[in-house]
Amino acid sequence: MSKIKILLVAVFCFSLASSAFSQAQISPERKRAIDSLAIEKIRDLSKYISIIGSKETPFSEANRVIERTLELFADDSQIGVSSLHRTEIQYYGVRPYLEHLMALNYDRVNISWYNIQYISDLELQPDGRYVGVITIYQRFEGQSDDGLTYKDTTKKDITVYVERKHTQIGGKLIGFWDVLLGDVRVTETTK
Amino acid sequence: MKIKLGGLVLILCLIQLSVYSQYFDNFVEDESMLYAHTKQVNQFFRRFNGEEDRYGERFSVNNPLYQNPTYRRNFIELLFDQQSTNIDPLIKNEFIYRCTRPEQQNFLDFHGGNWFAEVKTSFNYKGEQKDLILFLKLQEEEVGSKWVLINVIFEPFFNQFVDAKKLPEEEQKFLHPLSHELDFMNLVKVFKSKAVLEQFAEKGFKPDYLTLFIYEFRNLNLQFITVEDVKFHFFQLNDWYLELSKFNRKGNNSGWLISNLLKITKEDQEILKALIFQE
Amino acid sequence: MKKNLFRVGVIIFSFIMFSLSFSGCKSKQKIAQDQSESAYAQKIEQAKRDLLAIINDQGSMNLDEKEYRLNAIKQEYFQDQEVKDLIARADDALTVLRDEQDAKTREESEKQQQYVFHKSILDGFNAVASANSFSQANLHIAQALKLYASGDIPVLIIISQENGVKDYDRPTTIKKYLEYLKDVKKFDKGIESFMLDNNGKITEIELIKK
Repeated sequence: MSKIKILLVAVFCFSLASSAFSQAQISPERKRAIDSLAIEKIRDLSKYISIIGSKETPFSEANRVIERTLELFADDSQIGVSSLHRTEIQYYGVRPYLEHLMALNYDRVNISWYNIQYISDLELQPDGRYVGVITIYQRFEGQSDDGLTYKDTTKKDITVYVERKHTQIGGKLIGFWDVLLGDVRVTETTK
Repeated sequence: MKIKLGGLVLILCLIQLSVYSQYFDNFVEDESMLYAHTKQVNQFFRRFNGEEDRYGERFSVNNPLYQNPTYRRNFIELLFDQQSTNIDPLIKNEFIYRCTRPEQQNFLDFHGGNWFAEVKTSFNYKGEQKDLILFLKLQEEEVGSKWVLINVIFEPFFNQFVDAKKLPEEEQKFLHPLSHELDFMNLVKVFKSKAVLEQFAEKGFKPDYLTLFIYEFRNLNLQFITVEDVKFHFFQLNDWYLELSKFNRKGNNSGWLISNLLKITKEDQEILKALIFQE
Repeated sequence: MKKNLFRVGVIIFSFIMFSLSFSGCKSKQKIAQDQSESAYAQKIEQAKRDLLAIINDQGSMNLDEKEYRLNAIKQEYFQDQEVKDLIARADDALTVLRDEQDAKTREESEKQQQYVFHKSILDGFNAVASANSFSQANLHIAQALKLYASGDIPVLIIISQENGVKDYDRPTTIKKYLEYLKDVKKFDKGIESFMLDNNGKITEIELIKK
């Protein structure tokens, strides 16, 4: 019994060491590719948000895109929102946040994104996954038929988890980078 | 869940109110302003160390501007809260000069230790909403790193403890040195109701608020509500203390900025830490 | 008597003439025979040369021409052993050539098929990505899906390659990928490879980030 325990501990230590080793070995080119993959997921999220928010999107398509957006996120991810007038964080689940976005009571909604984006370093966390934060800025414009307009700019700090995974496809072992989004901090920005 | 939905309704109402009361325009038209903001703490590190350009693109190690002292000197100046009255300009200049001496530059290191976060949160304590400050530090692990709790400041906890030295003379009590001969039977007097137990504790006794916090949380007396504010304290650079705060305001001087700077000896650093922890 | 003598003389003369003419006829025949043998030998030599040319040809004759000449030689039914051996060798050489040509033709037709598929796949992706409405994009998706064995076939996207090791994005299915193109309205990948089943439908596709 104790031998098995020792063996298990040894295997565990080895797997920890090897995972730390393999993480340390990621070349700059590979890191760049992972960064750009993470950025692509953020762009996808931006597009999905624009589609869900747009009043021209058919209901069924918006619902489908909500499902697709949820697939980008890790389970239990939350959106933490604060405004200029209310600086403490309000927490929402991703689905209620997106459904709220779809149901906004404007006749026209236009969501666009600033060109600017900021990518943090990817940091290794104790479970062997990498975590990073990508910051983007969103323009929101809602118009009612009576001509009233609401505009704001929000900063979105989006958690990105990157994990090396393997799967078997057609008899081949495929090594892939699983990029999942996590918690999102939404801050209203002063003009 | 009810609270969340309530929040959603409230936000909707707020949006509605602002829509119907005015033409509400809060677009940031000047994108260059967003570039200027120090958008992440990570960016503060990189800017302080001169590891990225003005647009947030990382320099390669071979780039002559990478950790270039002159480039850093100009950039560090911009990393200070320009509206702060706490910071002595002379001290600031000396700090910048000392950090960027070409022969002996000082850098900030994310994994270098000696810095911690102060997070102002809000908890429900026995049915009442109260502020609670959590202190966290980055702890290195066998694989990667993580933020861990190191201390707590919570007013109701402070009120639980009495400084025994400040008790009036007639109230000061002790266990006499031969109590043991009576099998400590006199403990009954120590534990009579409302006794100030602190005076029976050893010299240098300090309450451990983190333990207390965990105990109260476990007993369901504390429920987390939200995060209100975050700042950081840096003791990583010899002889210097930096406070890093987040600003959300117009203009280029916004985002994560140095909100306080002190020139401080190693001994005084411990005193300052005790002050921050309100010990 | 004189008359008899004359007759005898005529007979002798005739006999001489006959025998003369006979001996002349006999040598003509021999000449003819000699000539025919030499022509045959020449033919054999020519056949040998032709066969060697077929065997050793470095590309001056095409396969059809070689087959035509070989068949022509075969129809002569030469009994010469050397010719027979050369015919066997030429047969072997042509079999190899024919196999090579068949393989080449097959390869070209596969290439052509691949090219056609390649283009159809790209056209499908681009049509979905550039559709200007959801309903139009949905029509393009339905059209594009006809190329694939099912909507669930895997789509692999290479994000980087280093020392022969490919790094992929999370695998997806063709249906989800086409819907993704509908949503993001952009197709910016290249086709790295794809696999077809016996029905000529795609069963796996590998894309690469440009």
